[in-house]
Parts: sequence; C-alpha cells; structure tokens
Amino acid sequence: MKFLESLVAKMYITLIHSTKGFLVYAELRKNFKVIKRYEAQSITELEMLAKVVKKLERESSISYIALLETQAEQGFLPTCQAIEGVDLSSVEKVCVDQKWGFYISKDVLHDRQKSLKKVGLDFIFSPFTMMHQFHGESLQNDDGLAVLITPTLVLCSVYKEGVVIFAKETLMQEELLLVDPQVIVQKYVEVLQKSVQSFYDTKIDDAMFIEKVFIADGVGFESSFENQLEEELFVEVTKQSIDLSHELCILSEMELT
Amino acid sequence: MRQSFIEPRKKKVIGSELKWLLVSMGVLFVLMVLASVLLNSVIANKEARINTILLKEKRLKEVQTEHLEEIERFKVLKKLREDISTNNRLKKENVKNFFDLVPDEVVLKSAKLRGTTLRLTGMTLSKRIYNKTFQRSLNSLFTHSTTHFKKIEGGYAFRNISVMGEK
Repeated sequence: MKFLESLVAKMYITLIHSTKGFLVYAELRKNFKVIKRYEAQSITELEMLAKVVKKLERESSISYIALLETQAEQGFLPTCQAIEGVDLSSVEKVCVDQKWGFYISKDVLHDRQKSLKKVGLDFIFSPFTMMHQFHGESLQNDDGLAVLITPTLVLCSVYKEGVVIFAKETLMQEELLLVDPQVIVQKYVEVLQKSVQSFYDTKIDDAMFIEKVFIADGVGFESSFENQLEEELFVEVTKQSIDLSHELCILSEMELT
Repeated sequence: MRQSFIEPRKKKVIGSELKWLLVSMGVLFVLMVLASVLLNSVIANKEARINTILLKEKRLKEVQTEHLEEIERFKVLKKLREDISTNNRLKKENVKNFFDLVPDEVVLKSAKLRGTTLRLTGMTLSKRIYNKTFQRSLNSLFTHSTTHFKKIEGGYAFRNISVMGEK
C-alpha cells in the first residue's frame, strides 16, 4: 500500500484560521515536489468550507487536510521528560528533538475535530512546529528571540543553544481589522515588547539578554515594522516572509515520511 | 518524528469508483475467459464431428472404389466368358463342320487342334481320292496343309499337319 501511495501525487489541503474564518489552500505534491498549486481562498462559513475542501479532494485519489491551530492556547514544555507533580494525561504532547515540547488540551483537540467533522482533519499542527520548522536551523548556533506571526496569533520563543527555553503565545483576534496600518504595527510591537518583558520577568536565564530577533512574517508587514521594533527593543531584527499555507503543506508531507 | 497532534485518517489508494471499475473489468475478464473456454469446447466438438464425417466419407469412397473395381472386374470376366463361350461355340461348329468334310474313304484316327495347328492321323483307301477330296478341303481351310502317306495293308496311313496362319 505504501508503494502504491508513493506512486500517486497527493493533495495537501491546508486550513489556517483567519480573522473571519479560514484561509484554504492546496498543493498537489509528489516526492517533495509541487506539481500544482491551488489559489488560496478565504471562507467564512463551515458549509462552504466543507464544499470547497471536498472539491479539492477530488483532484487526487489521496488527500490530506491539515490545520494550523492558532486559536487554541498551547503550552510550552522546557523538557520532554516527565515533570514531577505535573499530570499531562489531559493533554496531547509533542516533543522536539527530545529536548523540549509543547502541548494542547485533548478537549480542545476533540472540539476542533468535532467542529470540522464535515471537512475532516488529518493533521493539526501547532505554531510551535511551524516556528521551529522555519527558524530552527538558523537558531541552532545563534541565540535570540524567534517570532512567528499569523493572522490570529503571535508566537514568541527564546532559543538558547538550539533549544527553546521560553515561549509565549498571544492570540490576535481583532488587531488586523484595524483601519490604520500604523496602529496595527504598534499593536504587534507592543505584543513583542510584552513577550520579551515576560521572558525577563520569569528569570529563566538571568545572564541572557535578547540581542537578535528573527521574525517569520505570515501577515506581510512592511519594513517600518522592523524599524520600529529595532528602535523600541534595541535589538537586531531579521524579518522573513513566510508562506504559512505552503509551509503547512511541507509539514504535512514530512509528517508522512 | 511526529509533529501533528493527531494521526492522519486511513487512506484508500483505490477510490470507490476505481474499485468498481476494476471489479467490473475483472468480472468482464472472467466472463470473457469462460466464454472463450465454452467456444473453444464447442469448436473442438464440431471439429471432432467434422473429422468423423470426413473419415466416414473417405471410408465410403474407398468402399465405393472397391465396388466399382469389382464391377469392372465382373464386366471383364463377363466379356471373357462371353468370348470364351462364343469361341467354344464357334469351335464346336467348326469341329462339327470339319468332321462333315471328312469323306467316307478317309478314316480319322486322331485329330488334335493346338492353337492354329491341326494334327490329323488316320488311314485312307486311296491317296488319289484323299488328295481330291479331303486335302482340297484342308487346303481351303488352312494356310498350309501337308500330308505324309505310308503304305499299309489295305490302304495308306496318313499324318497331316495343317496350319492356320495370317494371310
């Protein structure tokens, strides 16, 4: 069956929470190569979402549907080992490099699968995975703050010696609906400032001072955002645009290997 | 390393439509094979029957030829029998006629006809009467006729050879 599957081009359909519903995107892929891209669509109603997904599913005999979960809160685990006094039976845990991890409530997962039952889900990825996929390599030998910005969430993680030692996620429901772009930028800068402050407040590593910020921008900010951030936080900012939907397709394909 | 919170659902490489198509093709293939086997069997039976009929026809022709040959042989035999019968009748008549030619003065002791040669022995009272009567008859009937006489008491013994050759 695996052999047969390897011969077939698979359809990867991705769902990303947007401010008013979901952003649906799909790629037909085979052996880590994109055969065809399908234009992203913003859909607000679940009925319509199910209809669009079913239509995309008909493009291939095998299709996988992945969701980037950016609306439910997820926790950060500084270790992959069992933590004394902490019961993790009610959460679903994912480990990264056997060094650190993250988790989500099983109830939340159940609710999400239930609400998207008509659509059907094969993967639910955490922004932590997305962030590590994007920044992981560059932060193996470079300490700093890694940031992932999606339309509904900002995830900040502090990397030290290739391992996340602190993480904070902030849900952004209405900020992108603001009319004035400058105000939007200011809101996001404030979120990052608060995250950095939280890191310092936790005193996880007193000796560490954040000098570099690596931003994966999934929203599409202009360079004024970088400039403002550098001025406010006194840090060196490296901002790269991230195609969240495309990255989600890659994650889905990697998950099958 | 697993990164998704959930496991993917099980996938079927072959969709239901394709599955039905393959099953239909399979059934069609089986039906075609069965039909082919059935047709081959029917054809084989027909061929066997045709071969049997051809064999019978050949045998009948052989019997017919044998019968025709037998009929031909019977025809030849019949003709031969008729020829022999005719010859015998003619010979009988000739012999009868021949003996009618023998005059009273000539007494035949033996007469042997072998092929076209007649050998006669006998006796006569007078050579003159023999030559004037019986020898003349022989000369008219045969191509060559020669008589040798020997004087005996009371007459002459004679020995005649007459040959009926082609003229």
